[in-house]
Amino acid sequence: MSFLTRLITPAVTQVVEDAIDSFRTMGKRSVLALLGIVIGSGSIVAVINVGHNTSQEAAKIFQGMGVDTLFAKLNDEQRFKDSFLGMDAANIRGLDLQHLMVAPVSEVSGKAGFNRLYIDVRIVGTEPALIEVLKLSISRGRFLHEFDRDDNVVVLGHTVATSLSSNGLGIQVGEWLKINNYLFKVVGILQPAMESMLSPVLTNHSLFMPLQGLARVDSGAAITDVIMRVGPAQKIELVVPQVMERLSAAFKTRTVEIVVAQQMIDAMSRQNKTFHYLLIALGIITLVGGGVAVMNVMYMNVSERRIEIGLRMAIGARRQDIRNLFLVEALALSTLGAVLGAGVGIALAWLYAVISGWAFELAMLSIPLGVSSTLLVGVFFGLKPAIAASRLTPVEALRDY
Amino acid sequence: MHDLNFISMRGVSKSYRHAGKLNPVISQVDFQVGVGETCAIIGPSGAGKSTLLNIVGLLDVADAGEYLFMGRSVANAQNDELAAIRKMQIGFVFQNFNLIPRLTVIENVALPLRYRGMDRAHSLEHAMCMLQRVGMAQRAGYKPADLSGGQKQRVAIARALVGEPSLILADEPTGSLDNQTASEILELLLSIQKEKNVTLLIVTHDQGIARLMQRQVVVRGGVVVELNA
Ligand SMILES: Nc1ncnc2c1ncn2[C@@H]1O[C@H](COP(=O)(O)OP(=O)(O)O)[C@@H](O)[C@H]1O
Ligand SMILES: [Mg+2]
Repeated sequence: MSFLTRLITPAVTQVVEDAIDSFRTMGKRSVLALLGIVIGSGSIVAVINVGHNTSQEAAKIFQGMGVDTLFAKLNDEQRFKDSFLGMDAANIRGLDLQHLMVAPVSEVSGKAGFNRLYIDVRIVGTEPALIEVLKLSISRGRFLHEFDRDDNVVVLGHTVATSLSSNGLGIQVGEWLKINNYLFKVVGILQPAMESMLSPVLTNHSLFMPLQGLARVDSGAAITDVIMRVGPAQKIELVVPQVMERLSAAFKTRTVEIVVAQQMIDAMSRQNKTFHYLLIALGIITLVGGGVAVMNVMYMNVSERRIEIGLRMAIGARRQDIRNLFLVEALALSTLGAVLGAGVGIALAWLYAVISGWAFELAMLSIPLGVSSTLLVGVFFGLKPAIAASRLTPVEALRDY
Repeated sequence: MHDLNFISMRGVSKSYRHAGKLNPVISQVDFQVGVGETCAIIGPSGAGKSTLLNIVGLLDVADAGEYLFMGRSVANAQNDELAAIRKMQIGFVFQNFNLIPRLTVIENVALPLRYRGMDRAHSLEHAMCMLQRVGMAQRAGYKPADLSGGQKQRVAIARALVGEPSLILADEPTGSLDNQTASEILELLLSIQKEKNVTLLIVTHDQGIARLMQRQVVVRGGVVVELNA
């Protein structure tokens, strides 16, 4: 019967127009469903963005110390009873760690006096390499030099310099500072430094002097930390075992503990990830709630438009045409929800960033991820009512009860 | 008089299951309508007139018997084939108009063309012509809710005819209208029928309307009986 059954499909635009038409008038009920979809999809987008910005921020914190930096702590059960600085320093110089920048650190607390003003400071004995290893910047003067070794010179951290200037007389390079009854000449002042959580040195609150100088100030001082930095082409993970071995050999009475910035970043982002998955799961649950609401709206929609379904069948709509009619409507609803949700999600994430004092950066994946999961939910929950509509027979659909 | 039966039924039966019991509505019906014929179907309420018309219009399928539509048996036709025949060959007019309330008058009329794959602009053009024919061009942009009963039925007639079907099935098309409007609507239906030489079946309670058709059949006691003048 080919002359009767030329199977002509309705125009695609008709399917879409139908959806928009009915969507326009679905009214308050669909607003509720829409709200569920928007909240669900919005929270997914927000969570992904907040997560992204959290790790960006975390990365920034660690960037200060650099992911190429290694912190070795030399612990001693005997409280460094048998150690003295000169021997420790020689030990470290003999480590033979080529291709690594190495700076030993010995730290004590003390008082620094200038112009009858005394403040508490952390006194760091170290070597000139520290400026490279910690990427410190000089504000005035210079950092320690090899030829300072036997001189009483000191370089001030930014906060120390500011505090010592607080009685009006700004401290300058070339002035003399009193530290534990020794006079030290200020040769440099550092710029404010980003303090890293891993470093044993609180740069801004410290003053830096050669190890020999510290030995004079505190005869009991020992090297407590070694800070190292690898070159740009080197993998830090590959260096760690060697450093561990050499340090343990050189300091037989100590236990060596190595912290690598990258490890901390990894641990932190792992922790972040679990948190994100949790939030994404919450978003998905909300979204599924929205999906159920869509399903209910679509069921009501179908039963309200039963006569229309019958009429469409009478004028030639096939079952799949009816199914598509309602499926496209569910999709239109979810698309609108997804778009609004993406907007709401980004706005929330932006607000979170602003409140946290971060710079907002859009997570590129969040939009396709949020939108596609929302559409998936829309299709999934829209399918059942749409199929129910298409299974009506024309007579059932057209009957007026 | 007619060399081809447009529709031809032999021994057609239909029962509905109600409360677990099969209720026969029509049984062993023989019924033929020729091409271009007009035929009134009358009978008491609940006799099965609508059931008969739905089977004729391929909205429903008979339980038993043979039904030839344009000479071809439709007993084994698939749903999609039946839909395609309805789309291309049949126009329906209902007592309750069944206009889609969301759509404007002209969009309602254009809808059958859209299901035939015609683009929006052309379908609206054709719909406008049809609205002119039924005297509703001025109301093209209205929503059905803003029309009177008679106006709604004019629009519904335009929708039934816009695809140039070969068969019009009208189930009590004037049942919801006052007498004056009813006769206007019937006049319109008949004039278009003559113009296009379509086959017209009309279910009605109104003897006056029935008499305007070339043939009258009565559905009573589950069978179809020809009324001869
Ligand atoms: N879908 C259905 N399910 C059950 N009974 C039906 C159905 N359609 C019609 N009937 C019954 O079949 C009989 C004939 O109905 P119908 O053809 O609508 O009568 P008419 O149009 O002549 O008033 C009625 O008794 C009605 O209750
Ligand atoms: Mg009836």
